[in-house]
Amino acid sequence: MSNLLHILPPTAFVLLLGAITTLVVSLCGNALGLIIGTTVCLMRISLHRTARVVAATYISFFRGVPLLVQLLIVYYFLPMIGLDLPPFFAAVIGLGLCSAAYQAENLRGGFLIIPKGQAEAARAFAYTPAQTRRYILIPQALRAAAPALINEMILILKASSLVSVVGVADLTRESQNIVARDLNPIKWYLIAALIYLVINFILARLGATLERRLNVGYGAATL
Amino acid sequence: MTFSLSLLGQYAPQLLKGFELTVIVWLAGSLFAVVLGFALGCALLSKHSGLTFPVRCYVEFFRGTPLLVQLFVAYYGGPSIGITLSAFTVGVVGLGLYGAAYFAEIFRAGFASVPAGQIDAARSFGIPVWSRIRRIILPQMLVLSVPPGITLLIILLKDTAILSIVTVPELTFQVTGMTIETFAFVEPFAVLAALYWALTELVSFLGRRTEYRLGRYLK
Amino acid sequence: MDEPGMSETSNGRAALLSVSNVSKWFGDHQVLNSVSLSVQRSEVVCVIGPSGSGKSTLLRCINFLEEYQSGEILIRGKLIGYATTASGQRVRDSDRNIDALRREVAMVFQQFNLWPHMSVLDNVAQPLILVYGKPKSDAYSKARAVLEKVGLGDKIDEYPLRLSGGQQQRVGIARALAVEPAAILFDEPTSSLDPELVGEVLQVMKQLAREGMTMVIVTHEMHFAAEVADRVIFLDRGVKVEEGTPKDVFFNPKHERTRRFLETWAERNSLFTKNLAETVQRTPDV
Repeated sequence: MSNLLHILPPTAFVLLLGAITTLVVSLCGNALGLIIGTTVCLMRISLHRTARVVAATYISFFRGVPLLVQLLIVYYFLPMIGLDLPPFFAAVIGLGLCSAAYQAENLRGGFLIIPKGQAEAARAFAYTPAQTRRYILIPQALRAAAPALINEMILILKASSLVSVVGVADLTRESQNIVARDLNPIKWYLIAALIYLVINFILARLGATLERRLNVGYGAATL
Repeated sequence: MTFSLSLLGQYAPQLLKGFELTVIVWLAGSLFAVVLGFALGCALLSKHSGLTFPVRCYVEFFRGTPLLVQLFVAYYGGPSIGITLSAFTVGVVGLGLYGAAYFAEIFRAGFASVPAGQIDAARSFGIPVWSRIRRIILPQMLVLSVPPGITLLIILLKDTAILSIVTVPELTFQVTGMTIETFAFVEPFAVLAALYWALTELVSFLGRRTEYRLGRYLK
Repeated sequence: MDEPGMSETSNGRAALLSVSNVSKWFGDHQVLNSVSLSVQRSEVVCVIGPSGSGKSTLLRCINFLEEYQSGEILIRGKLIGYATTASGQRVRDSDRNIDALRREVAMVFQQFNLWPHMSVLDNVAQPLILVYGKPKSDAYSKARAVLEKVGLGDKIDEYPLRLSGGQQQRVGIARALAVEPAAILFDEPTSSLDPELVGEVLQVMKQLAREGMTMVIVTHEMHFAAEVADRVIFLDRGVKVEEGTPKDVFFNPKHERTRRFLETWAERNSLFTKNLAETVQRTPDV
């Protein structure tokens, strides 16, 4: 790592750190969003009306309010309930809560695609509803929603530029710092933009590969 | 939690101005985005790679990079090459260029979704090119573009909040200023959230009505 | 033809499955009208009838995939779906109790309903592990054995969607066999299959019948019913119109509706009607 320090000019190194921070924040936010999103989705398709209403309200709120505002609220709210955490955590929580709303809808699409007969067969073999969800429905919903979920990762990555506002040293914040010292805003901001572009491109490629791998077992139904 | 409504009343004129600006920037930026996006979408239909390649680059850049960074390039970078624009202009233009890339894709997909059979039928009846475009292709393409278009408009509405970071004095900017002065943070932001929520729900609702009316025309 | 609800057949043996005066409504529409049926151990009962007659619904009531509003369905003498409260009221039973009874019967579906994200082996073994609490090694050996039995021993690691329809249905039968049920319910098992694939499935079903499995089969395959069924039931618009041995029902139907149904079927399958008679003659009376 220290070799890297010698080879790279300081600005490049700082941008690299920023890019890594961006990636980490995005991944954590995405993961949190998936966990919360799965729960919200299950509530959304639940048989109990209250759960459905709560889930629908959650989705409506977190999709209807700008992410920036959500991040600001989380950032100022956490200290109020005694959680004095570094901005990184507020960022991940904010991203996660917001992403969950979108992931819940993506997953719902995944659930809706599953033919009804499969859950029925599980019922006939005396699976409990929890077993049916865990072993039959969720694996397939995740597979079906995989393209949308991967797309969500790319969206989170772009949205993560907002965490610079709540003090996270991500790519955007680091490029701002460089411009403050070095001036030359066009050059540095365009470089930052390009880095985002490259990361997104790589993610899109990974996504396509993942999609292909997941569909291996399915193939085309033979006669 | 000390939240007094009087505080709200005190700042009401600023908040109102901010709200007004949010709507104006949103509408202006969206108009820009739709018009430019339409032109770009049409360009993408061309068979000349000399035309499609640069447009494709444009679309990939503006869709693949964060809006915030794009705004930084325009707002902070502009002066360094001699173009000093007001925050408002940067906001509208920034939102417009960003939105245009997405609308370009929506319109391109809309064109592609018009059933080829209809175009063939029109040609076989000898209907001239411009009429074909005006009466058959365009109406259907527009109807297909409405649902994703409305979704995009709502996204642009929410993204106006980001403009506050480059000092466009819209609603979020005003509320942030208010919290800095009053040291009350969560409550004003919560009200801000509620306002956006109401606004986006309203636009969604109008959007669904429009889709419904258009859907009836299709049937 | 109304019969008093019975859980004992005329020769005194307790019925394995007993459906007594079961009625079911979907909203205002009555799909089952006081249907009774009793199935003994090792019996093969075929249910035939036009579409919309309620045959599938009847089958699905037996394992309570569909609720029935009146009447009783007993599996091994125990009522499925409902329990009686202390005050004598009938209420929907707990899921635990319903599941306990579901474990006694297995079902084979028209659309196969295999789980596509798991291998064939897992499809058959998983119910044993999750529901019947078998240790994994036992479950997998049992699964292999049944898959071998239905002729798919070489396909255990394949995924369902890569198999032909006939193979998928055989996996479905294997899945049902693996749990060692008291009876297997077949819901139009061959109706979704291309004609040339029907045979392999019927083959397996015939073997099961020979081995003494208790089967209730909703089917359109008259030849199969003629060859294998101990009893045939004709259902029309939710009413049990005719019941008897294949010979009785196919060649001496007592009711006009049965006659008409068989005629319509015969017209469409004229090639086979002559052979049907031969098939029935060949099958020895019980």
